[in-house]
Amino acid sequence: MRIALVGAAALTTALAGVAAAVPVHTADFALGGVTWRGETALTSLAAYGPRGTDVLTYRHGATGSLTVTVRNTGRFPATVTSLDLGAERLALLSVPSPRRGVELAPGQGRTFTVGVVLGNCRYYHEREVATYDHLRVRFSVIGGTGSRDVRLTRPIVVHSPMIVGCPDRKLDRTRDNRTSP
Amino acid sequence: MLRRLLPFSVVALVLAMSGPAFAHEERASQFPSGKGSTPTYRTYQQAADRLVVCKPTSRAAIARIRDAKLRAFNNKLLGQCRFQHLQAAVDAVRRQRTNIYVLPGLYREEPSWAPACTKAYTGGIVEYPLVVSCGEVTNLVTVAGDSPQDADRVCDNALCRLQIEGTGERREDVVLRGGFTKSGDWVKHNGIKADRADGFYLRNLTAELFKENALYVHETDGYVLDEVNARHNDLYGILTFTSDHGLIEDCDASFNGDSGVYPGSAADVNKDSTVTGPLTRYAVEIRRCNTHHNALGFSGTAGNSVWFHDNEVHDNSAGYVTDSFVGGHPGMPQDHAWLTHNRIYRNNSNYVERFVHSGICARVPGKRGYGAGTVCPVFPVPVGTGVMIAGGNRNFVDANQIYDNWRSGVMLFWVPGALRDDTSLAAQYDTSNGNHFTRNLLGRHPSGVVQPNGTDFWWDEQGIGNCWEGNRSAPAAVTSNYPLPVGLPTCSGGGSLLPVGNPAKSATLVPCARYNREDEPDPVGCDWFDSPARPADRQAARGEPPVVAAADGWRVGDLTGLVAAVPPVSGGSGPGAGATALVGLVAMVLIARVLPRPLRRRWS
Repeated sequence: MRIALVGAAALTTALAGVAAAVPVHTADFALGGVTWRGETALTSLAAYGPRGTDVLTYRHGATGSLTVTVRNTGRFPATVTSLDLGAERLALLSVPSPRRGVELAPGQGRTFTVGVVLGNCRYYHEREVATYDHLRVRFSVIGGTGSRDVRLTRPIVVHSPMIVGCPDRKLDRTRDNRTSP
Repeated sequence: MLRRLLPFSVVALVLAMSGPAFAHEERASQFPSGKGSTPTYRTYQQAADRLVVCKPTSRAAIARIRDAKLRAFNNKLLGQCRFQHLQAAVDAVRRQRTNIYVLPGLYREEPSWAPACTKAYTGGIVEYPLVVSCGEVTNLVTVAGDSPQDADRVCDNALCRLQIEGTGERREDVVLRGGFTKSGDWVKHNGIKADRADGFYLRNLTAELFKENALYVHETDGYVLDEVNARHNDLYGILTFTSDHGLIEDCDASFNGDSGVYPGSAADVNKDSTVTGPLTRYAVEIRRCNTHHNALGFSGTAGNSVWFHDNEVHDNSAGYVTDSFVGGHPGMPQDHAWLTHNRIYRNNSNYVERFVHSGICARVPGKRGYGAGTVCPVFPVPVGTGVMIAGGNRNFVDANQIYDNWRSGVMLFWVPGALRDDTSLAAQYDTSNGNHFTRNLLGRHPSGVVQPNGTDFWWDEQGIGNCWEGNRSAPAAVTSNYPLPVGLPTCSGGGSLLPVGNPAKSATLVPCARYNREDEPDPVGCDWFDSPARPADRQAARGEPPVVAAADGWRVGDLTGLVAAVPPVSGGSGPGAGATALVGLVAMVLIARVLPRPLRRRWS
């Protein structure tokens, strides 16, 4: 019995080692262009900046969805488990992280739609913009898990509104400092 | 080249949603009717009524006045003094065209700090009725000229055409100070706010140490700010918003975290004019001001129809900045400023590096060293820039001296409408058109020595009708980042022709606009806060402070270096306040003695 337990433990350890050694760094993805459907506007400016710029108009509380094609450019089948904008804490543009388990064979692409909430302006100065330059793709591959920051075709820029457009903001900005709450 | 053939490559995926015009930091605002006029100075005899404010220290201060006539006038007023606080005098005004005289002294306005009416305020938008009923929620002194009982926005009560005048020999003899509470927080957002106060005339005093603005004029038709000093504020020294018929003259504005003088959303009186300038009507005239050692010497989001002339703009991070970048400002996009006969120089002060990146600006406000040279920038600008037009139209930059700005003398670039929430197709290319840069003298100190700008003219190659002509530089030709050998488009040649710019140059502000003093002080991809190198062929001018290593753009002779060890000016109460105040006083004396005071005084 004892030998069996030791053997099982060894096997578990070995399997864990195999899992840990899975070359998740070989998983790679590419994104297609982003499309937007929501309660506010996304304006695409092809000539603004080296890659162009998508400007998303901020309306406090507005929601919408970003649709993007994710293509598996790696050598192994990978399961995409979630997508988000990889943004900082209390991002102007927050993406609820849906757990999606969608498998992509090498070379295969699928369209994903993620929800967006425009809800954190109180933590931003009215002169400030937030720039979202990549999509964070979380995935599993051959038993291992990882994430990749994959560059968007064009950065998405969101300009924080004036205080009148941000009902939660206070004139005392220290209370809205997003490093302190 | 293809991009040049596709001028309108914008796709608005969702139609625009137009919003109301929002005010700077505060309520939704509108331009006044424009039927008013700029007030003129009113003598004691001409006033409909006279009220006098003084402090117990005023008598001794008056005794020190050297000018016998002025001293006698002050003594006469001292006998009429019935108020110790300026707000109390304002509240006592019963007739339009009243003069309030403020005798020499330090005015803290303690009754305005925390009256009972402020208890319910939670820190949000201050609508006009609240300004009237309890202006103390944000202002040390409130002048509200419109009765809230009617629906209009017209000045109609006794505070219309109010004149407030300091009676000291110098404007620094009468000081309105906000300062800090015992906990180190700011006492007030604003010093004096004139709100719908047509005909407001303010003269000869200093306002300092406020969380937002020392002097604030809002929705007012007709105002003068004359010989005022606005310094050491977290945002603006002088801020005017949605106002018309303004005159700001002989002012001094320094050590402000945004700009020294800000006529934002100035009345858009020339919006339909296709002439660049000069024009016959401006919303505000700013002349003979000295704006220095601020993050921005001048700024104006939607700074429309500003006539800016004969000013000194120096030692800021950037000199004159106007933009169409921030949404919610009436009068967008910005148009028709006229800059002429100004000296715009040595705007290389890297306050972000010195005070933000060092952590000083993360301290509680009372411990940051405001009043002793600290500037905590709230707005990102390219350090080392003389003039920056970020999305402006038909600005006329003519016959200025622009030199010793180590990044660029003048920057002009496009700001698409989407960045200010205007998503219509036409708005994406409605800025950076028709700007003229003519007859400026670049890269040369008035003494004749060479003090080059990093680049004289920086342009993103976008816009129609922009032109450069008759500018001179030293020791060689005018420099620019324009790649074509034919040089920048000339005015006589019709100016620039293409609405689409160079993508490699456009959007330069986007990574930097992520800047946030508290949370994002050094955005990735932004080089605006890197101090530009001192031009190799720069020569020192006689009497000029020596320049230290170009690495940080800081000058040994800067006041900030001189008094950096001096504690901040305190709230004036609590243990040790006397000593702190004394040290602060020493700092103020140093400020007064060290800084140039180019402005002549006028006593009438």
